[in-house]
Amino acid sequence: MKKLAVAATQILLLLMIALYWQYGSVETQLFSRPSIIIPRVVELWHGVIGLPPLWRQVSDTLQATLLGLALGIGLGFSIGVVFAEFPVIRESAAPYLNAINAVPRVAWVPVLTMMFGFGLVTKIIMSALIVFLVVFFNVLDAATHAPEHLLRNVRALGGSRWASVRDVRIWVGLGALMAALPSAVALALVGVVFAESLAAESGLGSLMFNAMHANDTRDLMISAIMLAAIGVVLAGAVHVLQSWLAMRLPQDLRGDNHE
Amino acid sequence: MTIQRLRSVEARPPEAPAAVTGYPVVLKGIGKTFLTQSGQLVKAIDNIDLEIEAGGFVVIVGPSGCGKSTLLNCIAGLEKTETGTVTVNGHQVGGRVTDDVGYMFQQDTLFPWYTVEKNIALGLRYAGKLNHAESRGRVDHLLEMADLSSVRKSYPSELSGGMRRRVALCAALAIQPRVLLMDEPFGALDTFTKASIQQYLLKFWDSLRPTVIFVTHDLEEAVTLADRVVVLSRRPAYIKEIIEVGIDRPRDVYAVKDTPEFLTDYRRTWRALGGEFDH
Repeated sequence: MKKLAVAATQILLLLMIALYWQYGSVETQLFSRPSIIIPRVVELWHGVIGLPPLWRQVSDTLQATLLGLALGIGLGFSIGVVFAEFPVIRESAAPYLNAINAVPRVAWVPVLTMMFGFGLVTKIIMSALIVFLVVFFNVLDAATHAPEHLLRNVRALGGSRWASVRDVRIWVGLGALMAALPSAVALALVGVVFAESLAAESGLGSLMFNAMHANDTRDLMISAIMLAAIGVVLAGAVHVLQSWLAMRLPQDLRGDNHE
Repeated sequence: MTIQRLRSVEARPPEAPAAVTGYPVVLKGIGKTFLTQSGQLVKAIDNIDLEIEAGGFVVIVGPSGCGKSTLLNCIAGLEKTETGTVTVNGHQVGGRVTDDVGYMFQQDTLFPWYTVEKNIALGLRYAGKLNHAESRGRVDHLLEMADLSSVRKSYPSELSGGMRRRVALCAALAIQPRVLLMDEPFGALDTFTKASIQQYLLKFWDSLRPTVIFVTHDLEEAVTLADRVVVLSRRPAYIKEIIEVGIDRPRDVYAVKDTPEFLTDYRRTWRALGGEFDH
C-alpha cells in the first residue's frame, strides 16, 4: 500500500514537471520543451550526421562507467586491505597517495588523454582513478583499525599475516566498501562524463559538450536527462547489491557486537 | 569415549581418569616494564618464579592492572619477557606463538562473519590440518561436548553470550593445546551462565587434561576451578601466596560451594589478597 502510494506520487510529480516544462512559463531558449525534445530523441536515436546514434552514446557511457567502477573497486579494495596489514608499505606510500588525491580530478583528463588517446580507455581509467581513491581510502582506514582483539586471536591461533587479511581485514573492509558504494557509483559516472566532455567522440559527456558549443539546448537537455536516468538505474542496482550483501553477512561488519 | 551430560559429571566413575596431555610450564625470574603514555617507565611484573605441573589447573588472581594478562601473553609468545624465561615442556618460549598453546581471551573474539563451525576450525586451518579426518572428528566431538551441535551452522550474532563463550572455548581447544591460557574468560557473564560454562570447562579439562592457566578477579571462580590459586601482589607484581585448593575432583561447580574445603580456601584467598587493596 505504502509502496503504491510512493510510486503514484512519483509518477504524479514527473507528470507535473513535464506539464510545467511544456506549458509553464519556461524560457524555451534555455530549457527547450518536451514537445521539441521528444522528436529530437527519436532523430538522435538513429543518428544524425556527425554524431553517433544516441543508443550507442548511452551504452558507451554506461560501459565505461561499469568497467571503471569494477576496476576502481577491485584495485581500491584489494590494495586497501593489503596496505592495512603492512604498515611499512602503507606509511611509505602515504605521501604519494595523498599527492595523487590532492590533484583535482579533472586535471587528470589531459594527462590520460595524452597517454591513452581519445576513447574508451581514457574514460575507463579516469573513472577507475576516481573510484579507486574513494574506495581505497575508506577501506584502508576501516581495515587498518580492524578490531585489535580479533587480530590478536588470529595470532594466538597460529595464523599468518595473510590469515589476518583473509579472516579479519577483508571483512572489515567489506563493511567500509558497502558504505562507500553509493558515492563510488556516482563518482564513476562523474569520471566518465569528465573524460567524455574533454576527450571523446562518443558518449553522453561528449554529446553534452558538443551541444554546448553548438548552442543546442535540446541536445543539452537530452544528455542531462539520459545521465540522470543512468544515475537512477545505477543507484537502484547498488541498493539491490547492498541488501544482497547484507543478507549474506548476517552480523555487523565491524565485529564489535557485544551483548 | 562416552559423552557426559552437563549435570552428570558427579556421577562419572572416578576410576577412569583421562590421560594427561598437558605440558609442564615453568616461569623463571619473569620481569616486565612498561612505558606509559606520559613517558614513564613502570615496572609491571617483578621476578616471578612459578612451576606448573603437566595437566595442572592453576588460577592466577590479583588486583587489576597487576600484569596478569601480560604474564599470559608472555607464556603464549604474544609478548616477549624482558628478564627471565618461560619454558613449555622444556622448550623456551621466545616471543613466538606455537601450536602447543591455546588462548581464550576476555573479549568476544569470535569472527562474526564465520559460522560456529568455521570459527572452531580456524586454528586447525592455520595449522594446515583442516582436511584431516581426525580434525573433522575433533570439531564434531567438541561441538557435541559443548552442546553446540544444533547451532554449528549459526553465526555468532545469533547466539547467547554464554553460547558464544562456549564456542570460543571450543575454538581454543580445537588445536589440542598442551597448555590452555584463559584471560578472565567469563568475566562478562551473569552468575548462572558463568556457573554453567565453568562446568563445561571442567568437563573439557577432565577429558582432555591440558595444563590450564586461568586468570580471574573472581575469587569464587578461582577456588571453584583451581588446583592452586596463585595470588599476585599489586604492581609491580610478585607472587604473594599460593593456595593449594583441597576440593576433590571431579567437581560439580554447583555443589562445591557447600563444601567446607571451599569455604576455607575461599577465605584464605581473600586474606592473602586483602592486604593488596588499601592504597
